[in-house]
Amino acid sequence: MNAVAVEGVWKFYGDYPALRDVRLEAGAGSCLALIGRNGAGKTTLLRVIAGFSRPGRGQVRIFGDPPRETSARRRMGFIGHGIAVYDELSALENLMLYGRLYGLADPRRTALEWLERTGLERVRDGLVREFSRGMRQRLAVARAFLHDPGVLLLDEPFTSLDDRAIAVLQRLLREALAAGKTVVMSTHQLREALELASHVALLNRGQVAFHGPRTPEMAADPGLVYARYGEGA
Amino acid sequence: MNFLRQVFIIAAKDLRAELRTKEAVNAALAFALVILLLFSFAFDPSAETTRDISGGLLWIVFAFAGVLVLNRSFVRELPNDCLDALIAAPIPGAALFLGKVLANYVLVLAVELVSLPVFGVF
Repeated sequence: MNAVAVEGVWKFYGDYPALRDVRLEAGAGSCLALIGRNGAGKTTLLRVIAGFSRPGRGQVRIFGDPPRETSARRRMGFIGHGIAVYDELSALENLMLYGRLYGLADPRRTALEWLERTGLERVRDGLVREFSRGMRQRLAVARAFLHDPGVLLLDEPFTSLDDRAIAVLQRLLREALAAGKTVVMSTHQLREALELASHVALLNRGQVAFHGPRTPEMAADPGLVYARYGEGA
Repeated sequence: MNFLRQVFIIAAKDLRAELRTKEAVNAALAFALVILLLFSFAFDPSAETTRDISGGLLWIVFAFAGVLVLNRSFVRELPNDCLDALIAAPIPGAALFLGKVLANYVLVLAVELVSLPVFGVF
């Protein structure tokens, strides 16, 4: 069974089809890099996969279940454009909140562990509103990984991160992939994404222009997929 | 996880965030006190008619103060897309809704406790 299956998904904004008959799948332990120009539909697709947005036609399955099912939500971690943590709470309080919502056995211990892994242990009691953008993004990463999800949906995860934080995130993603987790990420940072990706999907105006394994040539030349399959290729 | 526990987690989060900023309570309290003051200017407190409608006036104040608190409790979820994370969490929508109801109830109760004696004075 595929960890993520997108079956003939269409999404309309008014009359405009933001997604057109999108068909993708990602198996356990695979990393799918969603690439495409601005407005290609990457964020829309990730939101449909996460269950935040209902498709006009078609369906999405997370380990065989619709994404709005509790069983699917328990196995999904999401990083969107927003960091999804509360400015008025401390880093530790935020992670403990999500740990409790996901029913973790020891939310405090798990939260402290993830604060340490993302290099935020020194500011664990600091309010998020006082954090820099990079620190907020690292906290978002900790929140998404906190409940040990089987599927990680990441929308532009490298944005706002400095070199060190990018290395931390790449290490965490490698560990997750080695542990059999599935990663679906949209990004414009091709080099970082293609280093990790096992598969690549290129979206052009809501349609899948290419979907296949990431080859060594793609990793060596990140612009290759655009050159071969992008608009005007 | 126990449904009631999920409700309390959401309510505790809302109350903790509100206690840090006091944005909603301060706005609702200021609104309630100003309206009560305006009512005291507009109506003669000793008149029989004013006594008859005073209960309704008080409920108008509480209702609008409640709307301010309710609005703030959802506005807080929007800037960082926190509502998405709550929707993605494996809790029923009813727990999310009731958690917010409980937090709003406590905050409106606090506003009422302060504004009720003021209403008596005016």
